[in-house]
Amino acid sequence: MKLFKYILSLNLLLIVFITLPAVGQSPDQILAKIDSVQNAFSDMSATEQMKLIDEENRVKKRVVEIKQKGKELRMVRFREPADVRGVGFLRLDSDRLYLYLPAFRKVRRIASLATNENFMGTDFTYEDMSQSVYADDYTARELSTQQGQYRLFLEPKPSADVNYHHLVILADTSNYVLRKVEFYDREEEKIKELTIDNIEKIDGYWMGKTMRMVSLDENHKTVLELSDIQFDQGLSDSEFSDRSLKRPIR
Amino acid sequence: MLRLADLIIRYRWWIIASTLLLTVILGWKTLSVSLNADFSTYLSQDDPAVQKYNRIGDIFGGNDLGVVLLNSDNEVFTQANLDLIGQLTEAYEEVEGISYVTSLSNVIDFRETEWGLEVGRLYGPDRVPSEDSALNKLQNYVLGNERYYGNLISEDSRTAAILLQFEGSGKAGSNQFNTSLRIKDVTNNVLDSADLESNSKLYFGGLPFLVYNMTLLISENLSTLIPIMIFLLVLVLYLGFRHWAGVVFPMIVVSVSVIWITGLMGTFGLEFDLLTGIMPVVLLALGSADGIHLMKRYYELRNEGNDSKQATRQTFKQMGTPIALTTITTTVGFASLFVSDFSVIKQFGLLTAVGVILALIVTLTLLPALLSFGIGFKPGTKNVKSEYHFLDRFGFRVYKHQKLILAGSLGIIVLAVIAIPKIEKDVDWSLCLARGSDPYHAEMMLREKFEGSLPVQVVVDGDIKDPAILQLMHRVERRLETIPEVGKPSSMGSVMAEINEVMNGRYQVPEKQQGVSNLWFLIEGEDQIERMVTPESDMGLVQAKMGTWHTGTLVTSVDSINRYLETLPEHLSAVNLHQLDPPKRQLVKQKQLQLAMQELRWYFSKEGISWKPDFMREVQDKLLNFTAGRSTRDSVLVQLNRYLASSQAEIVLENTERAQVLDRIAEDLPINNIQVTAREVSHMLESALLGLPEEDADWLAGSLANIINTTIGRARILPAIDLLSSLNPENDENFRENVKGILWNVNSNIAFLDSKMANKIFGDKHPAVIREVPVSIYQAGMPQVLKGMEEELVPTQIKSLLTALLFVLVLLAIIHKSTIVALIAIIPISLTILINFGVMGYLGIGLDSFTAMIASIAIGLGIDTDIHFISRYRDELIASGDKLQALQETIKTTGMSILINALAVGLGFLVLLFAGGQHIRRFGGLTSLTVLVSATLSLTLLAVLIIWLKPKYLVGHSTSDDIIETTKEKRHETI
Repeated sequence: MKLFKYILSLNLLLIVFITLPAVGQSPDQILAKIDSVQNAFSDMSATEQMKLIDEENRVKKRVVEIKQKGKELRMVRFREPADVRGVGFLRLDSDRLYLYLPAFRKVRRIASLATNENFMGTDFTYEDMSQSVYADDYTARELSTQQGQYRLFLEPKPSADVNYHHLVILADTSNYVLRKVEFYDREEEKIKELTIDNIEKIDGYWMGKTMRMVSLDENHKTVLELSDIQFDQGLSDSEFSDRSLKRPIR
Repeated sequence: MLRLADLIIRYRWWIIASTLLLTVILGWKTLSVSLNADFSTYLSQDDPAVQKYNRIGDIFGGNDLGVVLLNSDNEVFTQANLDLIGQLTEAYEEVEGISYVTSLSNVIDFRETEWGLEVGRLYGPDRVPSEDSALNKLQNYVLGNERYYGNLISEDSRTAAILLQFEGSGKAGSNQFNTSLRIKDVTNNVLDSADLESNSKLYFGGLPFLVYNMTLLISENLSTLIPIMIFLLVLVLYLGFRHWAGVVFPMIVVSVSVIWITGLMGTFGLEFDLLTGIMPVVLLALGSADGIHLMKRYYELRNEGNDSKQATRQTFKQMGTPIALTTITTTVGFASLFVSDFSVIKQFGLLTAVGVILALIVTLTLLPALLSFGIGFKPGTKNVKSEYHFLDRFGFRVYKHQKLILAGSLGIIVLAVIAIPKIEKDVDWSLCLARGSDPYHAEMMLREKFEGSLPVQVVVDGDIKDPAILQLMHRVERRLETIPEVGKPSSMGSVMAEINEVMNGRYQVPEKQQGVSNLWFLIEGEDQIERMVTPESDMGLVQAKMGTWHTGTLVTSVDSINRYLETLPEHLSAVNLHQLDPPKRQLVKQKQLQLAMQELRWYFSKEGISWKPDFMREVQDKLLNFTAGRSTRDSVLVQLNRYLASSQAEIVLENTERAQVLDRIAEDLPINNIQVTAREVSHMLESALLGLPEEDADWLAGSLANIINTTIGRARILPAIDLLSSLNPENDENFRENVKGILWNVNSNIAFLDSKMANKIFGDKHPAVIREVPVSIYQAGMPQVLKGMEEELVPTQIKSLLTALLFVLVLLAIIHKSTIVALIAIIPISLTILINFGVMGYLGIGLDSFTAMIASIAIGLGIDTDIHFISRYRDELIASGDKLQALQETIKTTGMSILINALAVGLGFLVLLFAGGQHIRRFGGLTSLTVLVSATLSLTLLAVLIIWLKPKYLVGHSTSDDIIETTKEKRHETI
């Protein structure tokens, strides 16, 4: 009987935790969990297909190789179209961003002021591309839960060098996978919306394989499809250097 | 005619009621007539130049430029001003009808900072500098960039410009007048919450605002001046007739016809523009003339004792034909404006012609219907003719001084003919604005500080991402800068050069396609790029600004541009110098150098630096016969060593390996004027480092070849830059950058030559020609359209005048069955037109599309008086058989009507001399003069010619039975 009571209370406890997962967690704790799911792997590489779709539904396609290690190191290199093959972008930390243009064999640092500019015609800014840990720059508040998703209002920390007034993010309550980010400008108007779909668990890590960023003002969107995703290959830091940025794409 | 008059009198209530009903219906329709101030719709849409202009506007989101100027007594670079520019820019971006906004706050900027490459904004909305040092730094940077000063900021940094690209008229809802209104509203909204410094003020300029202001000015003018014109008309009518009916009835006729034509405009969806806005005034003048003649005759008949119905019948019978005739001729005068290239002039001509016909219908239906009631007028027996003794004396003098009048007329002809060549063809359009007004001030500021606001557009069809075409576009920009009144060119050519300067330190379009693609990638998706090139990159624009609204200067500049564009190739050959034998390579190098020197010459011309041929030959020799000396070679090796030791080097080499590589390269370092290729360097690396994988060698070789070529290239042109800089006393950084960019082309391994020239040098299908690039370049902007119109102005004017005169001549000859009468009738008109042009010549009034219109109005107005005069004289001559008596009687009756009409209309138009814009003043003054001259000539020259030439028609030998019968009947009635 005691055992039955124990099992019952355990089940009740589980039910409570499953159905009301936010209970006992602060918004910042949930944000930390979302960040940790995003950055759970030690490294990752993938091929990304980009589709840039303008207001008249003209589509431009790009194929890029992406690599990530830890929370900071990231590299993006273009494979297609042929005339920009080898163009690369390297992030060492939030202040150290580099660009490589193979035509001139030059790696150039990008000034942080330029981070609010769109990255290579996409709807992602350099800041969006390099944002990996939301908790570093934002404080979460106004938590709510709806349809199995957390909804967090992210307010920039006073020290954060970000270009948005605030973000609203949505993540699945079941696995803390980020599903949507809404970007608000300083007039507090929503200017962009990122949705993440096609969620799969690959090698034990949750990953959204399709990302769709829409610029609401311009009616322009960028759709990213990930493939050939590989985790924890033991990438070294030297893979994220200006030398490796210049390496020809095979 | 009598039967018709009887019908009108019988059904007069029906006529009055149906006129009233129609007036109410059409009056309601007038409410839907809106105002159109979109200049592009003023043009003839069938004109190929206009079609091209519209097409380019549709492709590039509009081609009319409006400019909002923030003018400060001090400096624009304050936090408040920059913040305001940012707020206005953001607000304008949301305005319907505006496709792009460019200002200091959102212009795309490329620069190298201590933090690295920056492709971004000068300052963001939340990054407005506040500290003086930061503001000064920004100011210095902006004033040092050719793309910003003269475009977005004046060189004295007291005026900032926000450029607004208005959507083309092709887009739905893109009425530029409404867009201009919205811009003003949005500006006021922003100013409600933002700070406009007390010493700052906003101005609005550029074509859309110019037309907007002109239209407003005309509306304002007319709303104040039309009542004064009406008052004068009423006054003159009253003084002429001394009876209220003489005032009210003609005014009713005119008002009804104006309401009808305006209502018809509403029915057919037509809009008022800056010309049709004047139409009611013109109709007021024209429509009242027939009414005056009719009323005058009616009074005469009443005074002769006829009752109202009888007087109406006879008035209708006697005046119906001349009035119908005058209407037809007036209609022809205005309809001749249909040949104009301006659709507004066409519309004005057509609507006025229809309006005149409507006025005739009303005059011949409503007026007799009203007169038949005989309201307020008692029949008398006094002879009204006897009241005007001064006209008797006048008639006598005309009769006695026939030769003097003829001689005087000849004298006037001579004087006018002398003056006609003096007519100014270089008309300044901005004089349409009231001098000293804010819009006028804005135009002057745009001219003086921003090199104008009228966009020059050169269209380039071809693969815009090809360096051959981009270099050509950059050359076109340089050439445009040398053309008088053309300034501030821009295109993807200079944008690529600017990014390349930030990336590689030279203001020049990269020679390789990959280089262009890489740089292009940095600015992909930017709004400001969409205005320069199509999304498919198959069409690009070279844009500049025309700093004049003087039509003559504009035509000269447009012609200069076209002449240059005609010299450009239709195909370019990209030639790889590595695949040429040394003599041919040297030949191509010479061609490259010639092109560079030509470009340099244009740049010097723009900078006002004198070109010294001997000096330039020295510079050319230095460039062509350059040999890399020891110091250059050492410099190359130092650069290579530094690179190989850096973290950027593609492969890590030990010190000994580095030394081996450098030794090997030193052996084969090129000393002549050809660049080394990556393949050549790769071979050097493989032979220096045995066992080095080919892949690694290739990888490293690209960077090393780049360093070698850059270092040697710099050494080649540096002495030339130093020499050339000595010619420029200011020797600023911009000068050196420009010179370096131009000269760097002589280092290039790929030359872009005219295919015809390339074929001549190499023959067909030479392997050195790596690709052929087709290109087509032509001008398509508003200046090109205006040029076409200006050139057509005189031929069109002549065509229009001759058509109208010929038509009137034939018509009169047929009606009167007398060529001589027809000729006599048009002589005073022709002289009136000559006097009009003569006055324009002496007073320095320019011939533009608007002043050119006055001649057609002169025909319309003048022929009326001539027909009435001739008809009456004929009647009087047949009646009395005495020329002097006939002349005196005619002058006392019809002559009096002509005088009343001329005074009423002439004084009315004279009021326009008090209008704000110079164009409307000139229009008013010249039309007034035309009316008065036309009346004077009818009463003098026409009279003399009739007496002198004695046409048979006038003495009753004509077979015009109707008129003879009319006369007989009249005499019988009088007896």
